[in-house]
Amino acid sequence: MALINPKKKEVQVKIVYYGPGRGGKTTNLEYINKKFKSRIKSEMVTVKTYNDRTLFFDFLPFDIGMIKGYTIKIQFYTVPGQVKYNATRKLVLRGVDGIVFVADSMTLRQEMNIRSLENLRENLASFNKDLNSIPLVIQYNKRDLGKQGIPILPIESLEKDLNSTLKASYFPASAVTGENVAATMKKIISLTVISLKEKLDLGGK
Amino acid sequence: MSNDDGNSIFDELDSRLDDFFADDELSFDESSDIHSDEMIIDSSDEPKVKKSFPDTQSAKFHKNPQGPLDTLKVIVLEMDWELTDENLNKYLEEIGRLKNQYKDDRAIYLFFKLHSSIGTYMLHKKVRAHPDALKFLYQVFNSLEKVTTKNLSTFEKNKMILKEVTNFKNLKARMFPNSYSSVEVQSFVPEQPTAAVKPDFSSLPDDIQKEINDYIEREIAQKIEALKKNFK
Repeated sequence: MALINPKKKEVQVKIVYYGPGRGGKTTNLEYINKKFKSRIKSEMVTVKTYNDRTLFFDFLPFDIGMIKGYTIKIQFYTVPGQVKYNATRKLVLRGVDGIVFVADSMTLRQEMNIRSLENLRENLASFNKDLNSIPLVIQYNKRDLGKQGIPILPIESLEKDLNSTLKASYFPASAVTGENVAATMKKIISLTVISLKEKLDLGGK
Repeated sequence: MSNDDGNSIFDELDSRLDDFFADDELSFDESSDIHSDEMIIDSSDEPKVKKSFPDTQSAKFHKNPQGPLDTLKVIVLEMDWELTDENLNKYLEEIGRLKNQYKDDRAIYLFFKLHSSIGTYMLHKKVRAHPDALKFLYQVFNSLEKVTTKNLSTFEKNKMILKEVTNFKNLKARMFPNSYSSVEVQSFVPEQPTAAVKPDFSSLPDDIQKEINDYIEREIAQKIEALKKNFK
């Protein structure tokens, strides 16, 4: 749940990038951090192991300014995708307001995507949260690999696997080239803040 | 809360996010593709495209659009007369079509990317758009017409698009003065792996910092236990 400070007129929103290991969650945040660095004005914290994998999480905070008199501060987190780090994923998910599920388009990763989404559903359930009712955007990452001859799943297939019942907004994307990375982020911020408006009467009298 | 409040929050949020992510439309790593080794830019060469748009003869395009840019020109003329959501949407639609048509001609394609960026900005901002945005759109259209109608070499085309990209950067610096400390616009360059950067935990929430410390302590304790077992 978002942290609200009525005295300071500040709302802190937590958005988590979730998905299978090596799917591009960190690359998404790195792209945003690099491309919009002059506007973000804070440092991205990333904790990696020796072989460049996310051990705990990445953390990227930034302000989007005032909306209806409230300063909106967004905190982006990624989770470690590897199966063994489920405890960390649960920790990071605590108090989440919105989720981007970064799916890997590679054909080889089809099963991992499905398992990771199921894991997300279970972890949210442990906090009494329902994946169907939380703001969610699905990103089908690594679309650029198709041009390099690497087999990738068609969007229809990914939609059928992951989004047939959720019916969430989705974006084909490439975190490496930046395609639809900002669009994904814009969408999740928008969905999350709007959902909070309904819960908190943000800006109401 | 009334629906009006809801809509106004949505609009405000949308506008804020558009500003924040404003330059994602034109990827500068793409525009930098035209900096090939063979290109030498003569900085003393002032832009020659100064003619205001439209001229009186262009009305003929309304009757018989035949060239590749004629439909676009008709729309641009309409926009010069009155700027509406309808003609801006038509404009973006036509730009999308032309981008596809010219996708193999890098320089011309980049002209359409510029058009697309400025058109999208104007559609979002409407009356709040920077006054120079429309002038810039006409200027880019004039340059585009030259590029497509005159028999220019690749070098000349690249030179023209490079000039317009620079103008676009300058315009963006004026559009978002708080975001751009100078005319220099930061381009996206793939980052070095961040593993080498020493993380600063102080900006993390307290509970997360505590969790990290606990985790590290647990890991160290486990390693010590494992070592003890090995030495027994």
